[in-house]
Amino acid sequence: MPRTQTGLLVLRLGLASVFLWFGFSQLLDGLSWVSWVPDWAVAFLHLPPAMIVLGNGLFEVVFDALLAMGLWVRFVALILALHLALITFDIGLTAIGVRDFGLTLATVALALMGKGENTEHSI
Amino acid sequence: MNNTTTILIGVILIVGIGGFVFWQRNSSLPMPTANTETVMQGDLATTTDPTMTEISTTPVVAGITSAEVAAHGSRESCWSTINGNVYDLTSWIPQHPGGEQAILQLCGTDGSGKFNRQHGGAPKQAAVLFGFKIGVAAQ
Repeated sequence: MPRTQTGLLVLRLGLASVFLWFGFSQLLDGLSWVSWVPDWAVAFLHLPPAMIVLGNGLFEVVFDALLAMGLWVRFVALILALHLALITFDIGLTAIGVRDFGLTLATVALALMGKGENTEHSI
Repeated sequence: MNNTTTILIGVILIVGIGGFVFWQRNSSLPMPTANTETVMQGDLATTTDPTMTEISTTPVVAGITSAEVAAHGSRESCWSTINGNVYDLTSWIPQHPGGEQAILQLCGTDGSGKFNRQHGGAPKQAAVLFGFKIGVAAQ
């Protein structure tokens, strides 16, 4: 396998691992994440914070599963990047926010490159 | 690499991470008990849920003011507001793996910034913290 493709595989699986861990954590241990739900999300969605955590966890697990399996990589990575960008913006300039900023850009890079196979035409 | 292999790797990753998180959650979490005695005393006793167990599972007191939190700013009674919730960390002071000082500096204050910088996003620490929850901070 060409080195570029190997690099993209590592990037994709690495990001998928991180997102999956957070997604499963929210599904299996939602109460620990409730304090992270911003007030505007509660006001906007009119849902209890615990439900928002479960919904977010489900969204992340489904999309990360697609990412891990290499399905619709560019589209899925774009959605995840936008999702993470929103979280990063909400957290602000803290150590966690800066880390998430890096992860956001890595996900954007994946959205731009896809799986590296027929890059110009892959979605 | 063909599509079947790619999907197989993905499935292994999903099951692996899911299993790891499940194992992490069910492994021996050093869940401390909340200092319920402190909660039951004083002016908040009338609003305290009598069914409260040693590890709190629901917001017990609503609208705890910053003045009330500030009144518990000592080693003997250490309350802290973290991300909108109020925690009684008194019994956690001698148990904190990072040393007593890390908790003592939160007593009587809004410790959100310090907690989030040190432990933000870490479910294990959040779960431990949750065990000390005594109520919700007043807006």
